[in-house]
Amino acid sequence: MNTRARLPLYAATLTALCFALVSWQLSQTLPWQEWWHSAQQPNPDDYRQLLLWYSLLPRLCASLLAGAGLALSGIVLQQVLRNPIASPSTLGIAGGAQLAMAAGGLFLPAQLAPPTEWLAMLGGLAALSLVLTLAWGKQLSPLAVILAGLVVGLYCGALNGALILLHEQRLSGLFLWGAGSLNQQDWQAVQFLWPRLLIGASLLALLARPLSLLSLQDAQAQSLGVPLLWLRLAALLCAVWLCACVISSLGVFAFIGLAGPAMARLLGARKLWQQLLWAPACGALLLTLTDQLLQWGEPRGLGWLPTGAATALIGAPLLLWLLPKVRALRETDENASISQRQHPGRWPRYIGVLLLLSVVAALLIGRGQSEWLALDLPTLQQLLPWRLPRVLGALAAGILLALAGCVLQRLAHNPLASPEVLGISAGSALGLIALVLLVPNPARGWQLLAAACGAALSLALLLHLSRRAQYSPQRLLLAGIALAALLDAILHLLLASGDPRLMPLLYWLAGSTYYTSIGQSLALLALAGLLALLCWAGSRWLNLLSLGAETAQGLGLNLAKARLGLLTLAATLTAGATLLIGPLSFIGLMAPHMARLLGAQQVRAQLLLSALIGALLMVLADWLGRNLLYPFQLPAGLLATLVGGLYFLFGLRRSGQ
Amino acid sequence: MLSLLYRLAAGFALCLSTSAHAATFEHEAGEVTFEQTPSRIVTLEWSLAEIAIDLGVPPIAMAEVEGYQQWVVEPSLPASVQDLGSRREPNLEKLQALKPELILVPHDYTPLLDKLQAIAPVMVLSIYTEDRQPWQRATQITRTLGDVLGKSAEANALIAHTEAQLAHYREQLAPVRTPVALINITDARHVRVHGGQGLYQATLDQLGLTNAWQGQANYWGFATQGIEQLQVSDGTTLFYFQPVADKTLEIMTQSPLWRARDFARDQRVHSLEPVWAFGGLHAGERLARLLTHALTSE
Repeated sequence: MNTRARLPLYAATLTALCFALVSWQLSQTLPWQEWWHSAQQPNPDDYRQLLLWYSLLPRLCASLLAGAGLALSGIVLQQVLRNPIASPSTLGIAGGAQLAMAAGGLFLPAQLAPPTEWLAMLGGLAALSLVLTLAWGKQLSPLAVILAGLVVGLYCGALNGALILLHEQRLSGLFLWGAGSLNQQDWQAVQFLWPRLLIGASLLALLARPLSLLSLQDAQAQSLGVPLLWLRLAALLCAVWLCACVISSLGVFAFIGLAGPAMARLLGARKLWQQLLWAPACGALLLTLTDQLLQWGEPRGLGWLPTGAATALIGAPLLLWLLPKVRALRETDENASISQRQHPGRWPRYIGVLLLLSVVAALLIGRGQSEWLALDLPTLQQLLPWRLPRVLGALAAGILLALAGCVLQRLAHNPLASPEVLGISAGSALGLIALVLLVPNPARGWQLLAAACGAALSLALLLHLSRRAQYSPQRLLLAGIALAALLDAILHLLLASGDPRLMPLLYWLAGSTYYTSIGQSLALLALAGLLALLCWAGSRWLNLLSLGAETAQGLGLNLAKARLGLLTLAATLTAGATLLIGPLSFIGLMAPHMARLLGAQQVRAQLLLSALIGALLMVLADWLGRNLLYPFQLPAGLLATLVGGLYFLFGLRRSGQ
Repeated sequence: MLSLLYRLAAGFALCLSTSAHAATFEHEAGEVTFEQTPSRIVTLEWSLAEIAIDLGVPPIAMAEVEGYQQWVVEPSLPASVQDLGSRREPNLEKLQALKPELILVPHDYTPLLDKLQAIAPVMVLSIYTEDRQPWQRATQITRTLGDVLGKSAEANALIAHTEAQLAHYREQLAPVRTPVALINITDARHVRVHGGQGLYQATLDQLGLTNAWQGQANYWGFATQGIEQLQVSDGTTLFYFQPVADKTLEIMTQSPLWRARDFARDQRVHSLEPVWAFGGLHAGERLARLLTHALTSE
């Protein structure tokens, strides 16, 4: 195909469209005859001229710069990691930067705080290094990197959520910034951004030639004298720098870093230098177009929609659409054994005893008005109705999530697969959000129903999307990532609107057992028992699948049927837990992992041990949440996430692969 | 057999309630009956606490005491008020241990009703509802609470006092022709501007002041905007609420677009102490007082 002719043609069309929109927009404020005059010396008495010069034009420049910067960052990440869906948002860089800035703003005194872009850079770099460390054992295979990116991104999101819960009123500005607002009142942001982006871009221009060799095989490149490691490192630093500058000055614009390069490729940019040139151009155009459309919609009732959130609304479906086009995402390697240990030995018994002890302790011990320990009957009668549903709910949710994680990790041959990544939780959260917005003050039963509907719908969507690929777990996980991103976007959007009705949702999203009743907890426990039996029965399929798809098929397994069954099982497990304690906890990620570290290599041993560990972790997290900041209560899911994150870092260092 | 027992019990309860001096009150989620006037009350939300304190029955406990002191300020809390933790998830164990006789919540707490009702009778009273008349609702709730808490006279006095104060302020403000805009500064580039059918707007109406911002507000009576989009009438006096970080304020007020506005040029910009935007009569009176003071001492 004739790429050389097509590319400029499309680009010209888009530019013209963008130009027309911008001109129309500007002429709405000020007749075009006065533009030149206004740009030379805006008349301080004419607000329209000032508006043009100090708001509309800076906003236009900011959107162009931000779009270009993010897209350039995205294309570099994609090239260095050889991963077509790498981008600041899918690799957790944006999340890390955001978290660092929020935390810095809250906890560092104003005199001590470094410039925001350095804070963002630090956060972004930390997130990226974490992602790369997590995916190192998998030779940085694209899927492993993306999964790790998602997990890190979600983790940063959870921490951000915790900050918001504890500082609700002080952080309303942060919501806006997180949703990516492009409103400008002077040239400060633009003046901040362009020299910094220019530095990053020039460095990349120097690296462009050696970078293009990266598409060769490593050995070939090395034989041509390219110092691979340093080259990659330098390019990654540049990419993070670009992203950090945009995020710190303007906010988070999800997916532009993904959409820009994708669009450039779609328009026919094949060679690296083409992509390095066209991706930023496309990114700039995309963001500007989105922003101009929003400005056009402002007087028409779209004023509440921040630009960044809007880009995510467009970007998430785009990601879904891109997935089937990604050919390089085939996973070949099997589950790498993380531990030398081959048998769990007495661990199930130890953990079981610990679980029992912790349940009893969680019921009896707790901070109260006078003393910690409740032993006499009247006190117990008073306290148990509050504590029992929460402890049992946490227990059941822990079992459900751990089993779901176990099944998914076995199925996907990836230790980073987890229920959060599946998108079911995001689906149920979306269902709940829709309900809260549509029905004033829904009762608890309606909330559960809405969440269940959301979960069912998202499962149907996921299964439909992956049907052609024989329910390939990889495809499914990626679709889940897109759904999770969509949820994140919508959430930011709603938070930015400042609607107080939505604050309770934040608690639910953080995984709280607060609202559960004893009936619900018992029902969930029964469900957990039932599904555990099904998992036990399905362990034969899991065993066969562990041998690899081909071998399993050779041994007479109906691949599609087995995968469909196991996925439905995992989804039901997730949905059950999500209904009660919200979509985020990372128990599903950690528990199976820990079970393996303790030597549970066989499927059944892993199922058993991780269910026990999951339950133990959740019960402990719930107990901690109720007592740590008494009388304030922290959501159990949040604490499980925090504790789990620490464990993960520690576990990674220990496994040292 | 079971139903028979039930009926017996119900009949017994009926006898009891007719024999004592029981009083029944309606609220948004049903009705409650009290044998005796409740005095140990708990409020899970700030505006109801405000009303109860003004009626002379301060809550024994409430959620987010520190937040109340920072954002609501008036009427001041007695030191004895216990903290129940966050407003979203108040600590139920602690709540139960305090043995309240009445729990007051607005309708946002619907999912929590079952649990609260297990502790004590609950009344659901909301200032912000679909009909969007916060001032009328606040008056009505003050009256209801006065009846419930045996403080009907105090409630009527409070309402009368508020109305008299407002009439007084209105008189003082009669010569003031300037339209006013009320904003919260969220960050250096955005503000929340108040209007619509919120408490602030209702207070402005009572004072006979014109709101300089006539844009579309959300359910709670505000909209979030970039400062450049803020459309206010000519001759506006602008009020921004504390707390604002110095740095944020500096960036915003240094912007050429801010400085070009006539309120900035003519220095008709005032800082106001915090006023709880979702409060009751007292919050409204506080806003009126602060506004009157600022506008008449110019």
